[in-house]
Formats: sequence, C-alpha cells, structure tokens
Amino acid sequence: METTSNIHVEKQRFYIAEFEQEAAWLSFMHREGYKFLSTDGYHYRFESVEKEDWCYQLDYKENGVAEEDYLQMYRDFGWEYVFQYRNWFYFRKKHIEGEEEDLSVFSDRESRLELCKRIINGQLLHLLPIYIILLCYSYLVIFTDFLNHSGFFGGLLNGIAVGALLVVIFGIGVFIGQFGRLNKMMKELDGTEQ
Amino acid sequence: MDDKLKRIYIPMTETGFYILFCLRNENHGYNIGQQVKQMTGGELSISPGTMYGSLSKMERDGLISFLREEDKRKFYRITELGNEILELELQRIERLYKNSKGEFIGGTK
Repeated sequence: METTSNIHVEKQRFYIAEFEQEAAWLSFMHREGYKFLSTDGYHYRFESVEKEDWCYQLDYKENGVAEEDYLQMYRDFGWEYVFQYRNWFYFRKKHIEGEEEDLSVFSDRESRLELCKRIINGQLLHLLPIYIILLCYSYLVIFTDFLNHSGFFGGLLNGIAVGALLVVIFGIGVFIGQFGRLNKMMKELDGTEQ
Repeated sequence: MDDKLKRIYIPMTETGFYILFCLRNENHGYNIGQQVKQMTGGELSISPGTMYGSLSKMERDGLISFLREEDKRKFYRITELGNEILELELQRIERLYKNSKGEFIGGTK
C-alpha cells in the first residue's frame, strides 16, 4: 500500500481493443483531480492535483522501445510523455480553452488503421502458437492414448491438460472478443460499416 | 520501379503527399508539420503518431532516407525512388485538376 497520502491507486482492467476508453478514462480522472503516474496493466497510480482538463492518448509501438527521436517528436508537437507499459506509450496534452486543436495523436484514417494492425500483430497473433501448443497437448492427453500413464502421474497429466484446455478456451474467448472489436474499428475506419 | 510500391503509394494519402513533398529538402517531423500547416492555411494538421508512422514507413520502403540526428530529431530527405513516386503522383493530381476543369488529356475533346 502507498504511504504517501497524495498518491491514489485505482484498479481497472482495459483489454487491448479498449485503448480509446482507457485514454478517455485517464482524461476523466485528471479532470477529477487525479494525475496519471503509472500502471502495471491493472493498478493505476495517480497523484492528487488540481482539477484540470488534459487529453490522454495511447500509442502502440511494435518494437516497444522508447527511442529518443520518438519521444522528441511527441514533445515537439506539444505532448507530454507520461509512461510506458509494455508496448503502450501514454501521452497527455493540456486542453487550452478556446483553442481549436486536434487533440489526437493520429490525424488520419490510414494511421488509425495502421495502429489497429500493429495491435493485432503485436498483441494477438503472437499468442496463437501458444494456444495451439496447449490445445495439442490437451488433445493428446485427454482424447488419445499417446501419453497414457496411470496412477498419480497420469492424474497429474490429466489435471494439467484440463487446466490447459480452460486457459485456451478463456484465451480464445478474449482473443475473439478483442479481435472482433479491433476489426469493427477497422471496418468503421474503412467506411464499409455504418 | 516496384509495382507493389506503386500500388501502396499511388494514389497517395494527403498526409503522405505533403510529407514527401516537403522532403524535397531535408527536414524533420515537427518542421514538416509546421510547413504543411503554413502551406494549407491550417487546413491540414498532421499529428505526431501519424507523422512518426509515415516517416518510418517511407524510410522502410526507401522513399526517403535518414540523413542525421540533431537534438534528438531525425532529418530525412527524399530518395530517387521517392522522387519517381512523387512525380507520378503529381501527374495524377494534375490530370485530376485538368479533368475537373473540363479539360481532356491528350488534346481531343
């Protein structure tokens, strides 16, 4: 637990297709007087500050490296780099009253599409081989005699197989859900879906 | 020239066109953004994520080349290949413009 009193921790889970909701939530929190500090993907740390209107945005970088020229580019355009969590980069920019400025880090359709593609490649597709291996293992143990053992060892193998199967089912469920959402976002950007 | 590159870059996105156009002289991301704002009277504004992504992609495809880094900013310039593509795109835009004014290409009407 945090000892400093002006640090505030919120638990919140955002799946990978929910980066826009996450950014909107961080903007909302800042307006409520909580300035985002860091996250581990579940715990969000904030500092109590004055209520201010800041816009938060996330970028997904395939190599996950915070190169100096990358951060400088954002700084040049007036964005403050806040935090990196895995391949996600958090930026914020203060909203100035009366100034009509585009508060998005992506200004055209194509670059938003590219972002969705980067997320699918980086976050979803690399998990597929793991699921396939787990699925093969479960199949061999549960439905074939390929790894036939009796007694304690057999029970253990079976237990692991059932566990692996549950992980795969859960994983594929999340996978399909997130892939579907990203796909829908991409279709909307492509103008093929109203 | 690679047909695949032609398919990717022609027709070009507005952002892509302006970035490539501005890189006929060496330049870096933020400055390109400022120039585009000036040229278009503020009608086109390119955000950093879009700028970074476009520059990386064009460099990967050989349309522009990285020259040097100064104060953490990467300077680029258009390559010969980039020039060829820009030239094709300019011809296309010119045709669009002429056609939109009722002019036909090739003299016959």
